[in-house]
Amino acid sequence: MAFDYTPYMRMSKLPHLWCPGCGIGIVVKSLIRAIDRLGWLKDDIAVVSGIGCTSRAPGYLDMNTLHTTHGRAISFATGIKLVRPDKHVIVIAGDGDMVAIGGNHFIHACRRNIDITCIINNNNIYGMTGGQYSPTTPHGAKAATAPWGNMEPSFDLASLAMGAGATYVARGQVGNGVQLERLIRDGLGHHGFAVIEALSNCHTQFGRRNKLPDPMQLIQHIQDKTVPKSKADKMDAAELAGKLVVGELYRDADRPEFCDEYAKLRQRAQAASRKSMAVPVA
Amino acid sequence: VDVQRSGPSTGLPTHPGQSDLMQARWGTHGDHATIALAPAYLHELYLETIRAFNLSEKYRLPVIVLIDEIIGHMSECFEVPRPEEYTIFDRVKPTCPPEEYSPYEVRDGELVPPMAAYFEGYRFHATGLNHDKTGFPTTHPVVCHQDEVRQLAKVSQNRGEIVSWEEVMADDAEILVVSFGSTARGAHAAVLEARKKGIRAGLFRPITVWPFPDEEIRRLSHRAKAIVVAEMNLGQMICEVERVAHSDIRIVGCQKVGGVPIEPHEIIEKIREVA
Repeated sequence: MAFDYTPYMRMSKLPHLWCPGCGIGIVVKSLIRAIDRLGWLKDDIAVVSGIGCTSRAPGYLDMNTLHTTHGRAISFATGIKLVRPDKHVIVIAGDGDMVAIGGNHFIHACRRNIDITCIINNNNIYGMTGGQYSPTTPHGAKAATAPWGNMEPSFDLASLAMGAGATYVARGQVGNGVQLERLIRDGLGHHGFAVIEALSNCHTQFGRRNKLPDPMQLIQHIQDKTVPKSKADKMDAAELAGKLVVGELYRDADRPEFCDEYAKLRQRAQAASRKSMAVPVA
Repeated sequence: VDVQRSGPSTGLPTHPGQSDLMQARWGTHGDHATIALAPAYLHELYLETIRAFNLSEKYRLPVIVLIDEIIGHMSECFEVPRPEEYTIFDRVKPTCPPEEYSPYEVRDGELVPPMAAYFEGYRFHATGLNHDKTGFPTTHPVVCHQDEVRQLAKVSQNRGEIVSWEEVMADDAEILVVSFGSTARGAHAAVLEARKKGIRAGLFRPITVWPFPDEEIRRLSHRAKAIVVAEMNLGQMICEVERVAHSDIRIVGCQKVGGVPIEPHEIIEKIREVA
């Protein structure tokens, strides 16, 4: 029986604004199925985004949703999580939002290991604003602001997350929704900062300028660049050149989580304060 | 909270200034209301910070506490107000069932929509984009225009509750000194000194600087001969005074930047100039 997404969506807000064939649809649906599998209640979930095509996703989800300013989803999400650490906080944003203007918040969320799940729809471009290159646009690719080809090297988002201290890092791609759903589900269930990079297609802005204007063609191109982790583990550097490894890339369940540490600190500070005061504190 | 320093850009860290007054009002883009409070004493700072939260909860907008380095670094004795001495205002939450809730819908004659909290059954959308009453983005020109008008009206139609100030011998003042924050403390001393020398000086100290106390300045400007606006900037509050004061009155500024306070004798000089 086909999965029914409608209970999780604000159906009255459809039709959505994304281009036909956009990879965001696959990412959002994978997220919904993952939430459903976990049996979470909509009232217990906050979905926070920044600015861009991907960041429009929360508006269509029937949960506690917040659409913030460019790159700042994590700041707001941190606030929500600190006030209600018992609730589920999800950040969904694009590559430009998360690692260009949002890069600083991103690395510190990784470092702090705050229990938020961060889904990055990486389509290697600033889609909504007309196809400007982002920190993940491949070197040499054409973009609205790179008419002679992008002269900059690009980030490996998963490496960036791992280097900064995230304790669950995974990469999937929109050509495999089943795998993406599992990676997102594991990230949601992980107690710590979880980053799921979803390699995605913006055929309208990126594809069109790089001889891949058809969504299926672009998705195939993305898929062809990937190699599963089990296989990659047996390949050498030369064989891996130009490839992106997909699957669960890193997991550490033992690192202290930010809200837990804060709760401990508060207890310690309040106990010390009670001890040092002459009169009992309420 | 803006603890003002001197100078634009990195300026003079750890030195006082009052040159963010206009930035507090217009620093962010778009048509927006602003509430900014400028306490001058630590006891007042304590209560005004509570009031800032109250106003923010009541009117659903950010409130700026605008002080300066002098107030930020000073030590002053005061009795901490007991909880019975002030009120706490918490935001109005919806009473309707979640299915009927529209996060930005106001009843006739009201301006501030009740605000639900997340995780309590009201699954609403909040966005920085212009939005309709359901919270969802819209580009409908009429909806956007009316919503922005409502947002400004939240403050403009509640000035009576928001505006606050202190007057010292202003009623019969011929020379009115207008000053805020730490500078106003020096202005207070200057006014007392001027009175001893036979000059009918008075002080008007805005505590709420935005919205600006238009009516009060306008009223006092009819009785006075001249206004001295003392501020640690090169002329910001003076623009507001010029805007609202009686057209025949003489208005001069006592302005100093460079990171040092304006001393009472400098203000007395200016009072003398226009007396």
